[in-house]
Amino acid sequence: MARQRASSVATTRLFTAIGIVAIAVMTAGCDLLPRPPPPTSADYCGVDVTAPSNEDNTLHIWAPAPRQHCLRLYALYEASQSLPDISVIPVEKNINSTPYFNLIKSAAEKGNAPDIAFYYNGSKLEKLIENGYLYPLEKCKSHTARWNPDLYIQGKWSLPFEVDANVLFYSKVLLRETGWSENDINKLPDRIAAGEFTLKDLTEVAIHALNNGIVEKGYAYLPPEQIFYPLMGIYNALGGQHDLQNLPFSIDKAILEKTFDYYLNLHHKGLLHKAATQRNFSNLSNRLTVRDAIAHGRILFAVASSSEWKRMQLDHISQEDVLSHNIGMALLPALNNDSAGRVAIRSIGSHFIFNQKATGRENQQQSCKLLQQLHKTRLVHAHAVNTSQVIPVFNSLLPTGKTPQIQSIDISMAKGHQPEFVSFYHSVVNALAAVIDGQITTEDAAAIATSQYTPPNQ
Amino acid sequence: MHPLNQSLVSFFHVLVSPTKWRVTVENSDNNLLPNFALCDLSIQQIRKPAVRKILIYSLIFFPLSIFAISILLLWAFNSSLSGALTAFLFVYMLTLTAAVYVSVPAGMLFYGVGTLLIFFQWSGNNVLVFDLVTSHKLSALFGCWSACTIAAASSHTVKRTEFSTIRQAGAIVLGLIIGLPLAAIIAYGIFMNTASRQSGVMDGSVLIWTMVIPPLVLLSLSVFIRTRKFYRLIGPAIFCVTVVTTGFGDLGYEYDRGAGGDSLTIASFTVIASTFCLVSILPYALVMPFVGGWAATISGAIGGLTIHYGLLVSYTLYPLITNLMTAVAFILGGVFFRQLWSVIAYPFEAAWNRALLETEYRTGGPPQHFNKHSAQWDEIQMLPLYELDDYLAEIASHDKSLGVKYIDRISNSNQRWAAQSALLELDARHLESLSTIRELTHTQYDYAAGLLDTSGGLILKSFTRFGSDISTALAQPTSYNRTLVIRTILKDIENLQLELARNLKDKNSRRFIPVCKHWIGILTRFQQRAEAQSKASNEIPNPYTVGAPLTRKQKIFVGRTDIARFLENILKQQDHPPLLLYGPRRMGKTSLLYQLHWMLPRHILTLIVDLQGPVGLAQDHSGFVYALIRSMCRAAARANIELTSLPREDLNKDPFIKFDDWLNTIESEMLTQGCDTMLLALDEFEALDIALREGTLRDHAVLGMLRHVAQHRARIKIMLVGSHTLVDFKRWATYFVNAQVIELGYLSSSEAKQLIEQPIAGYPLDYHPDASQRIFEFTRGHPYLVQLTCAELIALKNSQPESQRQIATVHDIDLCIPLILQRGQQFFTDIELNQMDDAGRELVSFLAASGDSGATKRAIATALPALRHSDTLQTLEQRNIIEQADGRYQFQVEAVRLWFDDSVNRYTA
Repeated sequence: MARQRASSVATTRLFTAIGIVAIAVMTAGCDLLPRPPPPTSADYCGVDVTAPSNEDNTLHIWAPAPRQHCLRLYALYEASQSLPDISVIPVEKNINSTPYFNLIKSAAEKGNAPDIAFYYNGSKLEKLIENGYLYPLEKCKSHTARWNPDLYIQGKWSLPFEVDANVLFYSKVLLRETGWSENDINKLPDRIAAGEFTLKDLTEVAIHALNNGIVEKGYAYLPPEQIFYPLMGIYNALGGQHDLQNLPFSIDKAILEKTFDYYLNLHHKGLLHKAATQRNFSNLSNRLTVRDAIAHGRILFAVASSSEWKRMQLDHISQEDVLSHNIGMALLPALNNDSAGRVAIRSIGSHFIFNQKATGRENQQQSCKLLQQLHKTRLVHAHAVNTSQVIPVFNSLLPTGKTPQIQSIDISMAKGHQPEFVSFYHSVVNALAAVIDGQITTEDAAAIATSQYTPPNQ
Repeated sequence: MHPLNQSLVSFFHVLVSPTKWRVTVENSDNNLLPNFALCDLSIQQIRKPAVRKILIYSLIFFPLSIFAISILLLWAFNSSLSGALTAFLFVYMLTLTAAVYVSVPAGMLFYGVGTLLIFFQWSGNNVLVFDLVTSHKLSALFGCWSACTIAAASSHTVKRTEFSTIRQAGAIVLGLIIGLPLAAIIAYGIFMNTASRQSGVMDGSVLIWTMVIPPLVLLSLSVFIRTRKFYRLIGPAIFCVTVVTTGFGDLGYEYDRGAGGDSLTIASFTVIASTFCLVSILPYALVMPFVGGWAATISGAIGGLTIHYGLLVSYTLYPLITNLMTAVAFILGGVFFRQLWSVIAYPFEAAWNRALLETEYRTGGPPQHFNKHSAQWDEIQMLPLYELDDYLAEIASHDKSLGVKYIDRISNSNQRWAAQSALLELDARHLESLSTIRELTHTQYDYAAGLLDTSGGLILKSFTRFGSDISTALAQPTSYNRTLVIRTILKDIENLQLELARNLKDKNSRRFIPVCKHWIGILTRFQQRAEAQSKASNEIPNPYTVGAPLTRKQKIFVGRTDIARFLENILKQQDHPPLLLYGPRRMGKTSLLYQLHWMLPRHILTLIVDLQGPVGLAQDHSGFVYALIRSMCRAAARANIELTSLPREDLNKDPFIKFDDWLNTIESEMLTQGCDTMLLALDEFEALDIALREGTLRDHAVLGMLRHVAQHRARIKIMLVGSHTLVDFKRWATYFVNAQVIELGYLSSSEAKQLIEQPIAGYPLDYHPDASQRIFEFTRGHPYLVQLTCAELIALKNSQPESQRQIATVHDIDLCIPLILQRGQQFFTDIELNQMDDAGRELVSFLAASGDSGATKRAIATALPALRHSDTLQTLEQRNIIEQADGRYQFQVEAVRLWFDDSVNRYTA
C-alpha cells in the first residue's frame, strides 16, 4: 500500500515537472515554432519576377514592397515593358529597415550589389556614399534636365520616388452628424488647399461637435502618433526658424513657448487627447487602434501618414467604398487665412544607382534610363492622383494651380548627430506632455526643451 | 417544462435560490458541490444523464434563451445587431472560461448579468477596439466577471466560514504573490509574440497558437492544482483549442492582410481576455484548495485588476482611473451582491407580493397563492418583506399545519423576522383565546424560530412564567395562598402591561397589551370569586407555606435579621474567608437565601446556584462550568441584572480559564448596573460531592477554582450552603479549611410567636397565650414545624363552627398533633433514615419512650448495653436531634420526640 502511494506521488511529481517544463517551453518557444514561409510581395502584388534570359541587359533592382506598396513593383514592371532592350529583375527584400540596409551594404562590399535599390532613409546613404558605392545621378546622360534638381538628395545621389507625408483625415460620418452637407464635405480639401479652412476653423468645428456630444472629448482632433513633426510645423507657422542640421541645434525659445501654448489651448478645449503626447503613442497597439478608428470615422479630425489610406483599404472590412464613405483626406490646414494648406513630409523613398565598384557591372546608363522611364509611367501618374502617395516629381496630389506649402522636415537631418537629435526630439515631446499634464508651464517647457541646444560634449 | 424555460428557471435558482440549486445539483450527483466547475467533473459524473442535463441547460439552453430574448429586444428597439453579436461572442467565451475553471453557477450568473450589461453598453454600432480601449466597456465586462464569480461563491459555497479570516487573507496574498508574476510572464509572452508577428510578416496561424497555447497550458495547470487529476486536463484542452481555433481559424488570412474592424476587435479581445483570465484564474486556482471558493474568487478579482495596467501599457488612450474604479465598483458589487440585490429587487417584489395579497383578499377563503410569494423563491432578499408576517399568520389561522410548515421554512431564511412575528401573532391569538384560569397554565412555547432573544420572545417568556406561576398558585393548599400568589401574578402582568405601554413603537409591545388585559380580566375575576367565596364562608386565611421555600418577598418570612446583618458586615470586608451557612433540614436556608435579595443592600447581588440541579449533574468540567454560568445568569436575571452568558462551544477547551475570563467580564457588568459585590451562594453543596466522589469532576479543578475565586476576587464572595458542616466532607475541608460557619438555628420565641400570631397584617385568628406557647414548645421554633402546625390548626379551625373559629386553644393544638405527625411524615422519616444509623435509631427510640424529660447517660447505658452510646450520642447531638440538659439527654424538638414515640408505638402495636 505504502509502495503504491509512493509510486503515485512520484508519478504526480513527474507529471507536474513535465507540466512546468511544458509551460516554459511553450511560453519561451513560441518564436521557435515552425511557421510557413511568409507570402512574397510577388504573391500578393501579382508580379512575375522570374529572371529574363539575356543577363547582359538585365537590371537587378531591390525594392521592398509590402502589400500597400505594390506600386513600387508595378511601376518597375511597367517601366521595363517600355524599354525592350532592358530586362528587369525586381528583387524583393525584407521590409525591416536595418536588416535591409545591412543587406545592401554587405552586397556592395562584396561587389554583388543590385543595379538599383530603393530605400527611404537618406541619412543612411551617407555610408554608401562615403565608401564610393553610389553612381552620381548627374552623370546620367539623358533627360536629367527634366528632373527637378531640388529633389535630389545628398549631393544628387538618389532620386525621390514617393513621399510619405502627414495629411488630415476627416470623418465624413461625424461631419454629417455635425450638420455638414455632402457638398460641404466634398469641398473641404479644396478649401484647405486654398487656405479658406484654417486650423482656427477646424478648431471651431471640433468644439461644436464636442459640445453637441457628437464626438468624445479627446477624439475631435488627433495629431499623428509622432507629434514632434506637427509640433515643429506649428512652430514654423508661428514664425520660428530652426537648424537641426548642425550642432548646436538652433531653435527659438520664445516661439517654441508659443507652440506649447497653442497645444495647451487645444487640450483645454478638449481637442487634444492627453495620451497623444505620450511617446509610446506610436506603439503597434495604438497605431492599429487609431488607424481602425479613423477608418470607421470615429475621430473627427486626425493627422496621420498619407500611406495609412492604403493600409486602411487593406484592413478587414475597410474597403475603398466603405472607406470613402467614412472619411476623406486633405492637406493639413494652415494656421492663418493667408496661407494655403500643406503637407508635412515624413519620409521620402528614393532610388539610387550602384556604381561598378559595388556591382561589378558597367550598365549605370541603363539604370539612368530605367529611372527616367519609371517617373513617366502611367501607373505612377494614376497612383499619384488617386492615392495618398505624393510623388514629388509630379506633385499631382494637389489641386491644379495651387502651389503646396510642402513643409520639408529634413529627413537627412542632423548629419552625424542622430543620437543628439533623438534626445532633442524626446526632450520636446516630454516637455509637451508635462505641459499638458499641468506639471510645468509652457515657459519652463520651452526652457527644458531648448536645454538640448548644446550637446554635453561641447 | 420547455428546455428553454427550464434553463431560465435554473438561472433563477442560481441567482436567488441557492437551496433549490443545491438540491438540483445534489439530486444529479451526491458528490457534486453546488459551486462545481466543469474541470471538477469526473468521467463517471459526466456520464450521468442528470449531470449532463444540468450542463446542457446551464451552458447551452440558457445562453440560447438569453440570446433569443436579447435579439428580440434589439429588434424591438430597432438597434443594430452587429455590435451586440460580437459582444455576445465575447460574453460566451468568458462564460465558458468561468464555467470550466471557476464554477458553472459563476458562468451562468455572468452570462445572465453580462448579457444585460452589453445589451445596454455595446449594442447599436460596430464595436471597435478603439471603442473598447477608450471607454469603460472592458472594465465593466471584466469587473462583472469577477463580481459574478464572487457572488456565486458567496451564494453557493458550502462551509465558507470554516476558514479563519487571517488564513483567508494570507492565502489571498500568497496566491497573488505567486500567481501574478507567473501570469505576467505568460501575458508578456502573449503580447510580445503578438506584437512581433504583427510588426513583421504577420502569420495568422502562428499568432493564433501564440494566443492559445500559453493560456491553455497555464490554465490547465490551474485545473491540475485544483483537481490533482491529469486526465481532467483533457476537457479544458479540447475546449480551449476547439473554441479558439474554430472562432479565429480564418484570422491567419486576415492578419496577413492587416487587421481592422471586427477582426481586429476579436483578435485584440482574445489577447486581452486571455490575459485577464490568466491574471484572474491563476491566483484563484492557487488559493482555492486551501481556503475555498469565496476567498479564491476575491484573490482572482484582485489579480484581475492588474489587466488594466497592462491595457494602459498597450493602449495609451486607455483611461486607467475610470476603468479601475469601474472594475472595483463591480467587484464591490459582487462582494455585496446580496445587499445590492435586496435593494434593487425589493420594490418589484413588494409590488408582486402586494398583488398576491390583494388577490387573496378578493377571492376570500384560505390563502392559496403563498407559494408564489417572493419569500418562497428569493432566498437572498435581506430586507423585510412587507406584510409577510400577516400573510403567514393568515395561512396558519386557516390551516395550522400548512402555516407551521411555511413558518418553519421561512424561519430558516432571511425573513426569519416574519416567521417570528407570525409565531408571535399566533401565540398572541392563542393567549387571547384562553378563557379559564386552568387554561392559562397551558403556556409552553417553542422558540425554534429564534424568538428567545427577541422582544417578542421575552414577552412570551413572561407569559410562560405567568402560566407556571398560575399553576403554582392553583397548587397552593389554601385559598388564601392561592389568592396571595394570584395577586402577585396580577401585579406582574400589570407591570408588564405598563412596560409594553411605554414601548409602543415596538409592534410586539402593541400586540401584547390586549393579551395582558385579557389575562388580567381572567385573573381578576378569579380573584374576586375566590375572595367572595372566602368572605362568604368567613374562613380564616391560611398564609403558611409548608415545605416550599419562600422565593418571593412575603411577610410570612420572619426573623433571620441577625444573620442578614452579620452577612452585610462580613461582605464589607475585602479579605475574608469563604462562608458556610449550615442548618438542619427544613430550617429555612433556601428561603433565607431568596429573602437576602430584600434583606441586604442593593449593591450586594445574591446569586443562588442550586447544586442539586444541572451544575451538580454535569458530566465533565465544561458542562459544569457551563451550567454554573447559566445558573448565575438566571439568578442575576431574577434580580434584574443582565450578565453576558457564554455559549457551550466556547467552553470545550480550558473551561476554567474561560470561566475566569468570564468573571472579569461580569464584574464589569455588575459595576455598571450598580452592584459592587456578589454573594455566590452554592446551595446544597453536598450534591456536588457525589460527582467529586465518583470522579466525574476532579476536586482540584472544581474546588480549586472555587477557592481561587474566594481568595483572589474581592468582589465575589462564596457561600456554601448545606445541612452539614465540613467535618463530614473532608474533601471540601481541605480547600475551605478557613470557612466561616454561620449556623441557622431555630426561631426565637418572639420570632416564632410573630409567625404564629401575626403571619400577615390583621390576621383574624386569636391565640390563647398558652396555645401559642404550646406550639413553640412543640416545635421549638423550627420554621417548617411551626408553619405545618399553624396550617393544620387553621384547617381545623375552619372546620369548626363559626362561633369557635376565632380563637385557638391548647386543646385545638393537641387535636392537631396526630395530623401534624402524619403530614410531616416525610420530614420525620428523613431524620430517621438519613440522619442516623441503626444505633442512633435504637437510642432515639429509647429516648422517645423515656418521655420529654429524657434519660441520663447511665440509664441509656443500662437500657442499651450493647450500644456504643457515647459515639451515637455525639452524632445525634451534632445533627441537632438531641441535646444534653442537666445531665440528661433529651430531644431538641418535642414534635420529633412524639413522632419517634408514636413510631415506636406503631411498630410495637
